[in-house]
Parts: sequence; C-alpha cells; structure tokens
Amino acid sequence: MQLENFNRQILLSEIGIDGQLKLFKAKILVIGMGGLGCPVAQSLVAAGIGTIGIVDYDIIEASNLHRQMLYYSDDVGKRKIDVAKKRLQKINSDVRIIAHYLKICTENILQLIDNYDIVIDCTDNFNTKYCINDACYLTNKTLIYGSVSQFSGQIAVFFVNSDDKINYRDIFPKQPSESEICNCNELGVMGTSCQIIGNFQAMEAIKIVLGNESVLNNKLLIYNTMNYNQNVIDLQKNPNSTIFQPQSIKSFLNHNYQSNKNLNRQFEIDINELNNYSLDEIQIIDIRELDEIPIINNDIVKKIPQNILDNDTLNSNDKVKIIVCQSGKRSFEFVKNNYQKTNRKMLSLYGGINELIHYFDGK
Amino acid sequence: MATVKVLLFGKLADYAGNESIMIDGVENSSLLIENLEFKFPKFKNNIYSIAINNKLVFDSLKLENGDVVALMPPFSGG
Repeated sequence: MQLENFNRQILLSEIGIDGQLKLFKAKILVIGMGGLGCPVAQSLVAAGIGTIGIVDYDIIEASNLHRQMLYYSDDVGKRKIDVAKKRLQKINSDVRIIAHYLKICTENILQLIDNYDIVIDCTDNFNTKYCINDACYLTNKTLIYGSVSQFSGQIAVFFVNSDDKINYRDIFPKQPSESEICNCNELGVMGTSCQIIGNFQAMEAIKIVLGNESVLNNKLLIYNTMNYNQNVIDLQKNPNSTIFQPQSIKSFLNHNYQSNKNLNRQFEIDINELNNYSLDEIQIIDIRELDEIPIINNDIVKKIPQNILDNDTLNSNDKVKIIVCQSGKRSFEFVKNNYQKTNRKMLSLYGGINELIHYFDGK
Repeated sequence: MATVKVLLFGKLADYAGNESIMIDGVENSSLLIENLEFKFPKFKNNIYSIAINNKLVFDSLKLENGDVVALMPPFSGG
C-alpha cells in the first residue's frame, strides 16, 4: 500500500506513519454486510486496514438500498458478498478483501475468527449475535458489537481477554426469543443512523489497532441520532451471565442458537427440515406477485400468485406443498387460512424467498 | 423517598410516549420497576437491563434524589 495515499490521516499525531503501518497489518472480520456492515467495511478499507474479511449469506433486496450504500438498484437479486467485495476493492485495490459466503453457525465460526485480530458484529438477529459473542468469549477474541433500532444504536467493545471477560451476556444473559424482540423489518430503521453507528464501530476498530486507550472497552454506548442524546453505561460482571452461556468449546458446538425460532410446527417448515424431504416428495409454490424480485427461475418452483392459487391445485397430488412468499409472513397466513379447506399437506417456508435461495444453493 | 429521572430506550420509549420521565416517591429500583410496569403494562412483555447513574446493575438498589435510571432493551437491527 502507498503511504502517501493516507497522508491526511498520517498527519494526525494519534496515527502518524507508525499508526498507519499498524493499520496496514491489521486483520479485521466484519460479520453481516447490511446496514452496519456496509459503512464499517467502506471506512476500514478507506483507512487502509490491510486485511478485511466480510461475511454474509443474503442476497440484495430493493428494501436494502436505502441504508446499504455499497449496493445499487441493478444489484437486486445478486449475492451481497460478491457485490460488496467488488465495490470495496475499487476503493483500494491493495487491501486484501476476503469474502466468506457463509451463514454463521457454531460449526464454522471458530475456524473463521481464528484468522482475524478483531471481530465486528454487524448482524441483524440475536441468533447470530449470541453465537458470535460466545465464540469470541471462548477464544478471547476482541469483539466490537453494534446494533441499530429506529434512529438509535448500541455499540460496545468486549476485550474478552481481560480477566473478568465482560461480554454481551453480562448485559442480556439470555438470548431473547423472536416473540420478545423486533428487528428492522418491524420497527424500521433510518439509513443515516446505520451510517453513523457503523462508523462508530469502524472508529473503535481503528482505535484498537492503534492501541488508543479511549475505546468503549466494557462500556455500552447508546446513541440517539435523532436528538444526539448519548449514554455511556459502565458494564460489570453479571452473576447470571454464565448460566445460559456455553463455558467450553464442546458445549458451544452443541449449543442450539436457533432454538428460539418461533416455528409454528403445524403450519411452518424451516430450511433444515425441508432438507429432510426429497424433491420428489414436495411441490414448492411461490405465491408472490409475478413482478416481485428476486425471481426464481427453475422448473422446481411453481409461480402462482396467492389470489389465483385454488384448492384444486393444492389438492392435485400427494406431494407436500411448500408455500413461499417474500418473508414467510404472507405464506404463513395463507397456509393458516386455507389449511382446513385442503388435504392439509401444505407448509409455509419460514424466512421466505431468501431461505429458498439458500435451499437451492445447497442442492 | 426519592425523585428520579427514568430514561427509556427503544420500544419502551414508544410505549411511554417519552424518552425520559420523572417519578416521585420511590424507595428502590425494584419498586420503581413495579411502578413503571403498572403504569405501562407493555413493559412486562419486554426484556431490558437497568443502569443507575450510567452503571449497569442487577440487584435492587436504594434510590436517591436525582438518580438517573435507564431501562435498556436489546437492539438487534443491523
């Protein structure tokens, strides 16, 4: 990398040439390339972090574009990880960008984080957040946590190599079930708030690499981007934190972070259970309107918008009908409302079209 | 009996219609929470942690005039 390209930040006494060389050598993993991950990765690449891993398993949707500014409107339907890598590499071709097309789970995270100095949590769900937190806790990996909701964000740094190993479970010991929380899909989130909170996370990463002492170590910053109110909460060891937390690699590998999925077994199926069926045993029906993207083009999926899907089609053969919509909500309502009128061999795919794309990826 | 300022975040602020409220005549933090959950029954269905004067707390503590109590739900958006 060319030192002169970073002249404006090298001029800062807190950075200088030594600091810039530290940034060149740093290896940082950004998990989740959504509203937080995009600004985090953009700022870290621009700052000259030498190696940046990016992790995601989603495709770009039109509803992402207001806050995920690495992606353009003609990217809808593409894998986030591919587009993000291409755009980030254009910011600085000397930065080593490693794209991990992965759904984070206990089986893959330990090996993944082993290659990096710092992990930045930019994910959008508690299943993954608790999995990342516990993996970093067990392996003494520095974690920069971040989350947004509406106009506000939470950021914390857990230097879990410290003696007390304060981590996210000291604030919230038990992983909430989906019914106990709302995410961006329901509560809404402002794109500019994601940019601000994401850049706070990137700033923490840069300060940690530089060895700067003013990081949010064992502190939780709650920042409201609407009125600029902020609170910095001093964290301390919660006596209940270890009750729900795996304390060994073995128990971590056996821990089920998906267990809080609120699956209605009568009407819903998830992708893991779907894999137990052979393709001969199921008929997948996409009940979205025909212009909804991403469009799945293969012979396996029938596209019948819900207003024209009739009971004759649903009862036409003995196959289990897997009903799919964008998010899994419309299909759930459809199955619930039509279950009694049919041969009762239909299930709504939990998570909707994104999950279906992953299902075909695995085939 | 103390008068304290309560800071509410996320959905809790939506339920209360305000990000900060003053509460009179409370003795300790568990009675304060009881009082708030009575006033705003939806609080009961939510997970949140508590900080007093910007320090995370787990037990019920005696409250003094002017204390600031924050009720912080977890955020999961990203």
